[in-house]
Amino acid sequence: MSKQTTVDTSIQDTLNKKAKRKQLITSLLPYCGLVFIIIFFCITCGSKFMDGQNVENLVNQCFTSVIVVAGACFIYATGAMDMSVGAILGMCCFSAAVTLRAGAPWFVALLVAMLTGAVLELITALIFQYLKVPVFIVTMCMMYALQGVLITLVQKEYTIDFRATSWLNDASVRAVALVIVLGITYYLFHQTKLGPKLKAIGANRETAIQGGINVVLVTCIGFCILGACCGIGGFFTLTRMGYTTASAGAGIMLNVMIGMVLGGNPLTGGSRFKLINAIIGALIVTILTNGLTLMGLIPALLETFKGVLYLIIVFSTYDKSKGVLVS
Amino acid sequence: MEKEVLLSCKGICKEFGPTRALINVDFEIRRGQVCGLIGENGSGKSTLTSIFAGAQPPNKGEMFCKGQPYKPANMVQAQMHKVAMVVQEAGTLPTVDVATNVFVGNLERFKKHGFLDVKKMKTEADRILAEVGAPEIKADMPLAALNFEDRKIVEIARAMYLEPDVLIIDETTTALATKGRNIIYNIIRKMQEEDKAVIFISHDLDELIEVCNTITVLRDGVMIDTLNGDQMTVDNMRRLMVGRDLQGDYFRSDWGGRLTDEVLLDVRHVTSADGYIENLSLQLHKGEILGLGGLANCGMHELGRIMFGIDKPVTGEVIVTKTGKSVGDPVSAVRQGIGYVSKDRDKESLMLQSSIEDNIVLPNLDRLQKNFHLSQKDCDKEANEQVKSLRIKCVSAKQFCTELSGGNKQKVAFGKWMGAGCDILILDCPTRGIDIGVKADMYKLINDMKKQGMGIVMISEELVELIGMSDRMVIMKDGHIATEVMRSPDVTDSQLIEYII
Repeated sequence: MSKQTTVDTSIQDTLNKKAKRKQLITSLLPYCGLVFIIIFFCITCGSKFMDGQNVENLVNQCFTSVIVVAGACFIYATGAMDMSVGAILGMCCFSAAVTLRAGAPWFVALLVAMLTGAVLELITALIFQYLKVPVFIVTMCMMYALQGVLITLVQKEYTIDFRATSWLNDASVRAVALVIVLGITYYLFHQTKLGPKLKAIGANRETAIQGGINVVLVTCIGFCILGACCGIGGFFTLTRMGYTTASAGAGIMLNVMIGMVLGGNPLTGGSRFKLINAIIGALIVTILTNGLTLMGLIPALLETFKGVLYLIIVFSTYDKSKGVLVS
Repeated sequence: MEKEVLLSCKGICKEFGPTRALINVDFEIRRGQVCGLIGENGSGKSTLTSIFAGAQPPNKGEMFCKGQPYKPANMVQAQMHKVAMVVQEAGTLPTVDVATNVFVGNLERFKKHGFLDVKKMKTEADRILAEVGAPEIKADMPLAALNFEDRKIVEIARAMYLEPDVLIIDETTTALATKGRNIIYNIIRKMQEEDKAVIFISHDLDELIEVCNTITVLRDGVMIDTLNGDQMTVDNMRRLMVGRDLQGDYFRSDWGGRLTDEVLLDVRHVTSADGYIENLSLQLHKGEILGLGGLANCGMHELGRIMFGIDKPVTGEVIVTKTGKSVGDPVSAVRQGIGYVSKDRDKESLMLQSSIEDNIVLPNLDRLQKNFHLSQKDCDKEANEQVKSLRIKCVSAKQFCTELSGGNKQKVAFGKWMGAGCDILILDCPTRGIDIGVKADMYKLINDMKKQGMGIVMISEELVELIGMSDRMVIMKDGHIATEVMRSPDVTDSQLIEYII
């Protein structure tokens, strides 16, 4: 009997170790991807990729993606998605520009941008929850509706006094802003009850309701956080460009969606969701975009490439037999 | 003379991640044999039979069907080898009609000139349904129109239409009332007469003794023993299943005292949205186990949902005495100290793709967060405490619930409310599909909570359990209260059945 037990425990130990190793590998995969892609472009593009000008470009491109992705985690964790982030970012740019032109100081413009985003996202959240329309449909309609509004409002270009806010474009200022945003979002997502509640809604909405979680309220908070992040992203896009156009947020939506799955987060949300994974994913996709442009890929084909890439990632991470998305 | 072996296996192993469901299992079934398969939850019964039926492949080992190697890739292929199974959980498609449900996976049989011969399919389905003994179910009914029991019968018809030599029935009878049970028993008898074989999984040990001629016991994925003839006694089975002698009382041993006058929850003249429950009033007292019994569709499950605020009554209200406020929705219910364990464990009580800890912590998040900070340490502590006190069988609290057995999943569903400081707990079928060992744990736990002064509503379709545990039994029928019986040694189930039907 005792011999049987020792054999048993040793088999059990091997199985546990196997499971742990598998877990470790899946959790390390996104980091390896990031390192691989940087090394890849260093080799293929050489000095062009590591060039000071390009590095600055890269930092700026990553800045917006990472901030919006950090906010998007708060809705993707519930299994929701938002196709309108680009249009909302454009609206935030515009509202910030109007505020600045009216002579308000920068922080007022930043607040206005954040508020614009939060209110627009709140409207989305309220519509899909109270009218019981799928979130995908609501955000798609939102995208087209806002795009139309933007084109009407911003006829061609809407310029601001570039010099007044040029200090905001300094790399160190942006780094500080990034650290603050990531710090706050990380804290909210992993160190308060908000994160587990959002993930619970993604894991099993009915269980969340029966566990006494105010699903409507929590979802609204998640959407507002995404809106505020869009506001921050929009504000810094504006100060860097010095003007805004109707297509200010173009392309960000696809970057967010790809970044989410590339980092290893399941599209259905739930307990496996990690903020850091989404950020790694966003970095990979932004660097990929930058590097491929440097390699001479036609910009228009870039979107084609990203569309196919998205399909491939979802296909390879989707557990078809169970019908659930896993990392 | 030994009869032909219809189905056998050698050295079957199956692993789910770090969980070992089956370890070197050898098994065989001969013509004319009705073999009962028993074991606690997580002992591997369902895993073994689903491997036989082609629902999943084993990690190791081989199977033989009538002497030939047998490797079914899916359940349809298994059916071609004349091995069919009626599964434990509902496996029907609610959006299509009965006929399609019966022949799903085998619709090519009715191909005519490239089209589906719907007429032939329906006649055929009607014939099979009449044959299994349910002629009142018609082939063109939409499945959604059938109740849970009739859906099971449709599944039975699906298993039977290819005239299997080996029929596997997985815990189906626990969900069935008399009509469905009789259908199953008739089929078993007929199969035996035709010299075919049946593998029958059930938790009802008396039922097994009645219908089976051998009983095989599994424990922790290992084949323990096979009982024949006189060895088939309830005591023998229990001992082999649990692997130790069950100690103490199964239900609570006391016969209760007077109820306290203190009311915890007051249901006042509620009418459900569909009007089925009409003007119903009920009170739950401090330190009381209130048993709600009746048939599956008597309205007791709906009443439980109304008490917790999941469904809203159109008239009347549910008042929590402590706060004087009514229960509007689950959010306010939890805030006012009510806990709820749903009867649909996998769909409602648990997040299966999450860890034990994530589940246990869920209703406790508001309490665990201090000064706008939720400490991981506090969460770990809460989860580990419940895992330990409920004796949840797992590698660690970080293990995912998908990998747990039914009984352990139910313990997790209980664990959510243990630390939440509830004083009212509504349990809908707390021991459904759970084996004896875990059941005994659950009963003890419920009794302990009662002793701490909690009020417990126990909704159950099992009369024995209600009689054994409740201070007061409320029997419901057609949405109203049929009778109320106080705890006493004289109450028998036959007495209560009169009010139920």
